[in-house]
Amino acid sequence: MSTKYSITTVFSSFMYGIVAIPVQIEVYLTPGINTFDILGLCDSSIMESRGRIRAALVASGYSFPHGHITISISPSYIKKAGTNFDLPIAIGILIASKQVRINCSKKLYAEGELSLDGQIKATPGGALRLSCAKKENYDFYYLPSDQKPSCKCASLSCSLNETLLDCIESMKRKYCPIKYSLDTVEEDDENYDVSIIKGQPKALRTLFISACGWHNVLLVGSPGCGKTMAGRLIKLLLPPLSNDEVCEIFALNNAISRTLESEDSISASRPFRYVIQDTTTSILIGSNSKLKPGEVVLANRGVLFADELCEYKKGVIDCLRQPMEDRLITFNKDGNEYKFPTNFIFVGSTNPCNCGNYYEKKSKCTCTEAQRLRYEQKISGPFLDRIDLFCEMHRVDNDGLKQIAFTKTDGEIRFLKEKVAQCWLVQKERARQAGIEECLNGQMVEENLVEIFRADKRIIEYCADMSTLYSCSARGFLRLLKIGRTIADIEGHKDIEQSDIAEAFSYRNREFGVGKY
Amino acid sequence: MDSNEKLYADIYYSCFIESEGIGTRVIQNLIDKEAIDSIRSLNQLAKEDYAKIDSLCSSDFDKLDSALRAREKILMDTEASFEIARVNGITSVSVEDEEYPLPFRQLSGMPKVIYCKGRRELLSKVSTNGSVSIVGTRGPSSYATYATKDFSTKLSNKGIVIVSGLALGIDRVAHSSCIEAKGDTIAVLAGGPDNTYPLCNKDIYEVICKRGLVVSERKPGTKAVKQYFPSRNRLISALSDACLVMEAGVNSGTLHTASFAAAQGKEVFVLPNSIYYENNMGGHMLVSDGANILYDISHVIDSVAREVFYRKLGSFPTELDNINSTNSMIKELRCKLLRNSDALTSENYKVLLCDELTIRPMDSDELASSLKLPFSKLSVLLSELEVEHRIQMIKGKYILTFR
Repeated sequence: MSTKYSITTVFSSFMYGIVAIPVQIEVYLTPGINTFDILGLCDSSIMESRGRIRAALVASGYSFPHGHITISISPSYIKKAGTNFDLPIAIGILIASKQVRINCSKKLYAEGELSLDGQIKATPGGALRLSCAKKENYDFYYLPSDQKPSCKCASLSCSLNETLLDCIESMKRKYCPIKYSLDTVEEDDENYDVSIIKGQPKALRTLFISACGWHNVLLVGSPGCGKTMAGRLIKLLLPPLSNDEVCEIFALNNAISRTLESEDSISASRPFRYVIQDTTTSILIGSNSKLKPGEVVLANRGVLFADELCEYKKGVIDCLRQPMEDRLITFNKDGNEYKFPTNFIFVGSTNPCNCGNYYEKKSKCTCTEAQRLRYEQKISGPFLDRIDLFCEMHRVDNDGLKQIAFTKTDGEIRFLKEKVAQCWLVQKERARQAGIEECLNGQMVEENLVEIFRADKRIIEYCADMSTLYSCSARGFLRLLKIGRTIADIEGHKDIEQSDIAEAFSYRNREFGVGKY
Repeated sequence: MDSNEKLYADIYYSCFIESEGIGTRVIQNLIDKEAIDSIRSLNQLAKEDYAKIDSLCSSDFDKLDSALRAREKILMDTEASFEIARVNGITSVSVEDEEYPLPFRQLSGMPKVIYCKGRRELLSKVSTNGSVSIVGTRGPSSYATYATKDFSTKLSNKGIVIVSGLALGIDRVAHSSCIEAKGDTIAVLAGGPDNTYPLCNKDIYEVICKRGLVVSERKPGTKAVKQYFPSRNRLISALSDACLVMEAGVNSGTLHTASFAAAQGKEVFVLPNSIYYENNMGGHMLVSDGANILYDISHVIDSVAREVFYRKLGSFPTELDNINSTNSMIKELRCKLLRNSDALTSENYKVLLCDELTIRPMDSDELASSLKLPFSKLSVLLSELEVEHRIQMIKGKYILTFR
């Protein structure tokens, strides 16, 4: 005697590194001794879900079916991990055991982790999975209510539920998805004041130019002169993210940092990643084998701040060269190429020498020339070549302190921020007119820069004279031009003027890796 | 005296001493004993003026007498030469002029009059910026040519004046690469300053006349003759702070330049080459005589910088006279800065910046606060001053350069 047992199919997806892969979950109930098997290269986090599902079903008032339960998750050749299969498996079991009925021809997508008492909880990387699921075009979406921000990001219409019971009960009714609209908030940093780097107008100007034109910066100065504070300032100067950018960044960062979504609205502030000196290549770049990018991707469209650059382990800084140049990193796994954007402003800070007092007047530098050279050489030449602006900083003395006391700073941050936003508009408009992808001056890779930047022959000659005078590379020449263009944008000049180039010239590298002659 | 009269008088002087081979010692005696006021009043010299000078010997008297007798011919020569000078735009610089090169004043046996074509200000730049002579064979190896080009370009980029003799080979390369690098170059000719020798260097001669300076001690119209070359070489070495010998054969004229340089107390640098390379034997001899070996540009720059520095120290007292007037100007500017800073031009600000830096090295932030200038404006001024070699940054602070 044989009975035809039907197979229930539920759809879900999981994170392979930080790439979302859609899966199909099949549930097969047959009579016999009670067993519960999950197939498809599942790791222990999925195997453990058996206990959670059983408890949650019972706690929600449903019965756990007797007999063999076989769950197969396909594609079954990829190793899987994650707890978001709890809900789809539970739903599958309920449908297979006929405790709830749905239209068999419709495709149902579900994800979420179950607690023993039947609560549905969110899992990291929701936004990426949902945008992947959206493309597959399923008929029903049942998601944890904690994942509201992710739904907003993926602009997915779905049904959000807090408990398994709610979910199953809503399945019995008519499916009425809700589409949540994206709302963003900008973090309030008003109490953070520009006066912390008062008395250091060069540093402020450098960071301002950097924010205006997306230029990389290296701050060099003695300990306690406010490098770290200055570096943090740049975050406040950058305009807020656009809605598309917010989604892109929220999705990736949520998946990489494995944080759970908590608030209802998503922050539109730009990322600011602070990297400490004992960092490693795998923290910065990420792990290829696990397909998990690191800080460079987290800092995308924001700032990567590397403090005490000279204290980094050998080779760690240099691994930043490729992401800074190409503005993306490429991972190769199983013959597939995965690209992640790394479009950040690099802000570095370092001491000028081992004792740190090389630039100071009052405290004497105790380093020998050889020690100093050795210290400088910790940052390689090719890396320095990718830094646009160099700024020396000093401890603020009497005059500077007076200036702090006498000058008003109210609203200066807001004023500068508006100025940056204006500059961005000018630059994007210029890129649009030139028929290239919208980008800021620091990101330009086009070859006919001279034309796009509106630099006349006299300026080019002046620029070339300056760069030969101080033996700059070809990249140095272009860098001078790019910074000059940004300054011209700030000053509101249509064509680059000689004074713009002259100012740009004062931010060049003077100490690091530069011989005396 | 306007410039034409000066030129005429200088040419007269040249013709006068050339006619009988009268030495500078005799002329100096005439001036010392007040027979004439200066070399430019030589025209008025009469027999009774010098008859009583006892420090002259009988042969000197004979020469002066016959020169005076040949006055007609000298005047004719002067006229002819003056015409050539006028047509070619040649000017003269004599020991009376402020522009007369400082090294010539400090060395004996230098001509009292030199003729120039081109940018005369380079004569004073020689002492303020320092200069290097680059000399060598007329038929150099490609190695020496390459090195000449390299060193000439790098030295020009440092603002150092390149002096050479406008001959073929090394001289030509030295001049042309200096001009390509937009540097300052001086060509010292053996004949008159209108007289290109060899003729195939006419192209570069034209360029130097415009962008550099051509100098000669011979009056305009003089042909380049073999025996003039050694005396030309002593001017090359005298005008420079260091002498670079790029390649020299055993009997090369370059060795003259090198020995003049050594005698005048200038550093001699010799580009090393293979000992089996015949054409550089002269260079190797110089090395064995104790010349420096040229392998690092910084040695040359150091040596020039030292010379410039000492000159600066030596000339300090004469600058003291100017200090009072400068001080009052700076005071005035400071008043302006306090009352209405909009009236100040960028040149005014530069003066104030340099004044701030005379006291002690300062970083840009301090300068900004003391001049009450936003950094965006200040950085433009600082960059320009840096390009003009008036200030430089050391240890994160700006200081005045010695130049």
